[in-house]
Amino acid sequence: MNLSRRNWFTWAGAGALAPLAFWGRRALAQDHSQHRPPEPSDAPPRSASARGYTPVRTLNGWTLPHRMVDGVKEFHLVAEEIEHEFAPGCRAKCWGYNGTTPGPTIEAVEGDRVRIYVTNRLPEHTSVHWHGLLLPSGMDGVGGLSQPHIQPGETYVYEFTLRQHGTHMYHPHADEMVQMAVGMMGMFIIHPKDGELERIDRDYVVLLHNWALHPGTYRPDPSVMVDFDLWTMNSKVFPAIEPLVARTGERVRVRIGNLSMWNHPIHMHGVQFHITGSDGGRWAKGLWRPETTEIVGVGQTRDLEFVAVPGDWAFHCHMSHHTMNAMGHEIPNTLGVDQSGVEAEIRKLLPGYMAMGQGGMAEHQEHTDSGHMTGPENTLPMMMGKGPFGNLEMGGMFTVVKVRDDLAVGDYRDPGWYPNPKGTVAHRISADPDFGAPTRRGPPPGPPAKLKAKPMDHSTMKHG
Amino acid sequence: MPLPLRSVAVAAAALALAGCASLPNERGYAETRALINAQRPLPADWSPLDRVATPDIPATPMGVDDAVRRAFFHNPRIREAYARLGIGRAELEEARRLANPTFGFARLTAQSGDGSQITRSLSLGLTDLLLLPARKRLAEGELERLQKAVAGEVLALATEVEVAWYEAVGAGQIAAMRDLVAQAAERSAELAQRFFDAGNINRLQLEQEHAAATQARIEALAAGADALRARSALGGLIGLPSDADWRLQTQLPAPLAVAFSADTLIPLALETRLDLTAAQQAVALREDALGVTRRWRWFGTVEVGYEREREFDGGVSRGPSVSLGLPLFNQGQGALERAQAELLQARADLDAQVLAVHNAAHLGIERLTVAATIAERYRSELVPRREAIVARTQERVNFMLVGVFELLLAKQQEYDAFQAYLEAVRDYWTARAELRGAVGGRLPDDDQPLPPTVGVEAILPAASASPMDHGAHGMPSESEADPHAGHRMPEAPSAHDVDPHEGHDMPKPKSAQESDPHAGHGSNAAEPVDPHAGHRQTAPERDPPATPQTDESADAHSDHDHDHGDRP
Repeated sequence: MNLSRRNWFTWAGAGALAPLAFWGRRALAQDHSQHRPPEPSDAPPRSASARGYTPVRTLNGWTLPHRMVDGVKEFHLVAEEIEHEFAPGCRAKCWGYNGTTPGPTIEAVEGDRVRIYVTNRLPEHTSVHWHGLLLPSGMDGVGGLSQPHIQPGETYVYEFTLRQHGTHMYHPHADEMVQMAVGMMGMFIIHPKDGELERIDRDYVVLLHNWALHPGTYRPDPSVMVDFDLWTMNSKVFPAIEPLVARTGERVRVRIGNLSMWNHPIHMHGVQFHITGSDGGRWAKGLWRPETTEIVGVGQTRDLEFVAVPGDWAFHCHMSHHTMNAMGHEIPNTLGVDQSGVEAEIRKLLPGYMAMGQGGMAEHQEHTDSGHMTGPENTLPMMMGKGPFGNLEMGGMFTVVKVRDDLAVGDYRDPGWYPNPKGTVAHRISADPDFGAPTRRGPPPGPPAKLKAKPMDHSTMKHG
Repeated sequence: MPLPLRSVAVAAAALALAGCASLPNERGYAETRALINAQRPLPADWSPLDRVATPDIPATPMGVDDAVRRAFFHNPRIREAYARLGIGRAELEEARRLANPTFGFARLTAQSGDGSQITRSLSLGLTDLLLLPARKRLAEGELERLQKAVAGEVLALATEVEVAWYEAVGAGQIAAMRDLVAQAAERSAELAQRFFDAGNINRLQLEQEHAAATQARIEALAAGADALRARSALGGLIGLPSDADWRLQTQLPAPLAVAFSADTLIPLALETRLDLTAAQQAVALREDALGVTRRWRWFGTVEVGYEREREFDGGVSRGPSVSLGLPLFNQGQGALERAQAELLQARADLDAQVLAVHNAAHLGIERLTVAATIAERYRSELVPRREAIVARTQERVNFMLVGVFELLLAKQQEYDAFQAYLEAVRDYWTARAELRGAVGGRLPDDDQPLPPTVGVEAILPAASASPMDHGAHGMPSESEADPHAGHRMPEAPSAHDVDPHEGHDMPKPKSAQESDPHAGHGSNAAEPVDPHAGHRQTAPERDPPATPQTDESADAHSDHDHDHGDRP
């Protein structure tokens, strides 16, 4: 079978619209000016009416086109090495599907028969496990257990009928430690054939992952199990993660999958969302529960739904080190360390040295943003992003839900910063720390901590 | 019989006249000077026998040639060697003169009281006369041998001074580097104390940092003592007290590639090495002496004379006299044996010296090659890599990936590598000085121009660094210090292509003075001025206003090399 990818695909449906380049760089919370989205996302969104569902929008990603062959939806995944950009200034040799990590989202409807070709262009065998899907045992994609491994150069075909709906994932089940560590993963969305309980206006897809891309290197390290460097949404870190855009009052769903090696308490500001589904499918309404933070465990998916409230609302993992980029795990703690005097002496030996962190790390972004503190090559500063009021000091799994009153249906472009109505922004009332008469408590009873070093007493030391 | 008396008298007078003419004043000294001068040009005002009362303390830093020159003037060993020339001259003087004739007078009175007998005689040792040419020849040969030996010793002293100079410069550099390492370790310990004071590290970490700093300082002190010893040794050779304020140039020239082989050096050495030719001459002299001993072994003491006697009766009788030693008991066996033994001795000595020269040339080339190779590996690889490691570590500190302690440790390792490089350069030059001595005073490529290499200045910290001092970072990438700029191989800026401070606009300088780290640089040569002054290869327009420091360093600016002037 001679497969031509060019003719194969019908470019009908990638539900993404690229952020437009003419938006001023400074004006964007998340600087996309250098981000080159995958081409399919330039295609116009499909209309909900034509398909009977609202197509998902995979942040920074795309949806895999299919073609109908004798009533079967045919998809073609190509496992291959790719060059991936986590954010401008940080690229790596990764593995993915069809040119990207995560691979393109596969989107279908309950009851569909799907036929998925998988071509292996990797240097080792692979397989694809359809995570959470109900299917014949031989289609489950566990290399060696349910099927032979797909050797380099080979194409396998999977075919099954979708007997469920929900938010699912796909990933290799062969040499997982390597293949997932370097980015092989994707989302598999199945819409219910009977439609939604509540009409969905915008349906976002986010796949969480972690990477051991050590500072200064260009390839993720598969041998790392705990101390990861980058925490990503759809393999991007803030500020390169696209915002979730919605019009006021729209019903928004965010489908979150987690193929990282850590659980992520995903927190959304501004609303109480409902958990309405998972890889167990769309939940009956009685099971929905309101939350503001939902832990998406390793290997789980969760669907959040909310009615959009105007504003710019942070959306992030609540592990604080998951909302920053690479930082040393064992660096000396400079908090409260007075380096005055010593710093000047050290600078005589090391002119580039600058004491940092006595009062905290916040100054760090100033230094790195201004460019005089260069880091290792191919490495992002740990804190990034500028907002209308200053530095965001974020990285990793962080983006913004941007809700505006005046957006057109299907307009996913970044609307810029939220124009806060007058009188609704916190503001300074005093610059005097002694302002007011707040109630404060003193230190705990008992002797204070012995912070100051005392000289060692050598008088009793025995010599010889 | 008047004839014999007349002929003897004439012969004696002629000999006496000839013998009376003294040796020319310069005989021996001039030849020795010429021998030395052929290998190592001598100052015109050099007169080795004059004692220069008090050596002046040199005002400018001494180069290696200055040190050798001072040794020529002030080292007592030169006067001692030259005094031996005087003894040789004296021996020649004696050898070329006849023994004085003997005049005899006897007045005998008869017991009867009746008149007296008067005898007058004049006699001359004939042996002495016959041996005179051989004796003179041998003494002249011996003086010639002495000239070579003395010249050889003077040249050997020059080599010794050169080696001592390189050792002293090297020891000074090592002491400076040890001091830098100690400074880095002490800064690290001070910082650790601050971390401890803030409650951020534990007592174990603090003790480890302090112990490392103390250790480093002890090593610096020991290195300082070594430097003083080396300086003292040099001072002893060139007549300077070690506690006086004299300084050495701090830069050694970059090593040359070794461009000769033992096959070219050994013939050169055999030809030009003066102690070797002296030993060859000693053999020739002993052979000659043995021949003379053999020829004259049967010849005892011969004396000819003339006697005039007035008898009691007033009658006069006169006539020649001869006395002859008969070789009955001593036929010169002892003298012959001694001459033979001395010849054997001289030959063995020559053989030993030829072998020593041979081996010294081989070993010297080997040492030179190894030292040049090691120095080059340090210069082109290890030092730049250590610098790159510091630069990369600084980047990691900038991005809070590692801490400052790691950075200071990396800097110490850079200092260590730089010190080892300086040691290798020193080893090259001491090996070269010794090889030059081993082959008789000159090496084939001695006239090659030598680009100066780096001294400690290249890596010394800037005199002052103000807070937020990033002014020095506009230079092309090569970072803190490029100690390689003056070297032969232009360095590709491979590993250093990131300037960590490019484009940094200085936030809030506290004062104009602080804001310009170059202000005042270059105006005071005694300060450790901008170590980068000579290093800017691609952006000369960023040089600080070039205030001339000394002539030397002003030249260095234009040549883009590393001459930083005159600091000890």
